[in-house]
Amino acid sequence: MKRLFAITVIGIALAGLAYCSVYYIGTAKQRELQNHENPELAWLKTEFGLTADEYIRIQKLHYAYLPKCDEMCALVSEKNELLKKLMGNDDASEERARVLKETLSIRASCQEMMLNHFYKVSREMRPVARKRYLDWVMTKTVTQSHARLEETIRHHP
Amino acid sequence: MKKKYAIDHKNQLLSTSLRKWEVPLELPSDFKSTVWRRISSNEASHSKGLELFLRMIYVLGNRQKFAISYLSVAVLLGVYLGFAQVKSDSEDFRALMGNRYVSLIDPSIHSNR
Repeated sequence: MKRLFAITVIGIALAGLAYCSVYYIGTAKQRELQNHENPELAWLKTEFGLTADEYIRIQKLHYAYLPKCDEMCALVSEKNELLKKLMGNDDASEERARVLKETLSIRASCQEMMLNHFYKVSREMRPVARKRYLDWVMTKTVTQSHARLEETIRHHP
Repeated sequence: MKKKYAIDHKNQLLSTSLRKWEVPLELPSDFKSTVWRRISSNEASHSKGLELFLRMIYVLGNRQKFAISYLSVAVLLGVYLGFAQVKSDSEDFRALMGNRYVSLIDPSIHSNR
């Protein structure tokens, strides 16, 4: 009976050890990516199988794009705040319409700039990765923005 | 010495009394056969389950092949569950990193933060 108990315990311990080892080895790449100075770009490299040269070029494009994106984001936020204030004022319909147009125009510029960035990034990739990247990123951004817009319209007709 | 003699004497008396003692009871003629029948029927109902249990204990405790098989299955199960967990976590991680990348470059998400 003692032997049976010992074998059972050893079996459970071995199963646990095997589980932990496989998990530790299997998630090593994830830990490495998370500890990277820029995890998102490191992930992009892994996900789309970028070479070192491609990665460096895409990294440059990424860092060149970010300040412009931040600038546009600040503008959109500013206009959003202004719109919120104007929403509470019934007499400011003209100004509200003007700010709304400006906001939409800025958003359109943002989208255009973003799309240009995607195409620039994709051009640094090899054909298969390029297509996959564009499909993926368009689904995540343009299609989802459109879906979000439709959702908003459905809820606030 | 006297005391020891007294005890022996008492024991001898007890033994004699016990030998002479008879229970004034008449057992039915089929008493023995009934008892044996009950014992055998009781054994028959328990023997299969008991035998199986004892055999299992014997097999589990003493057979090396079984122990090795059990340990191998345990390791394989651990490996399989580990792989399944890694697969599930990797998919979640991919989705998370993808969303983080997009949130960095999509101004509409960026400006809502």
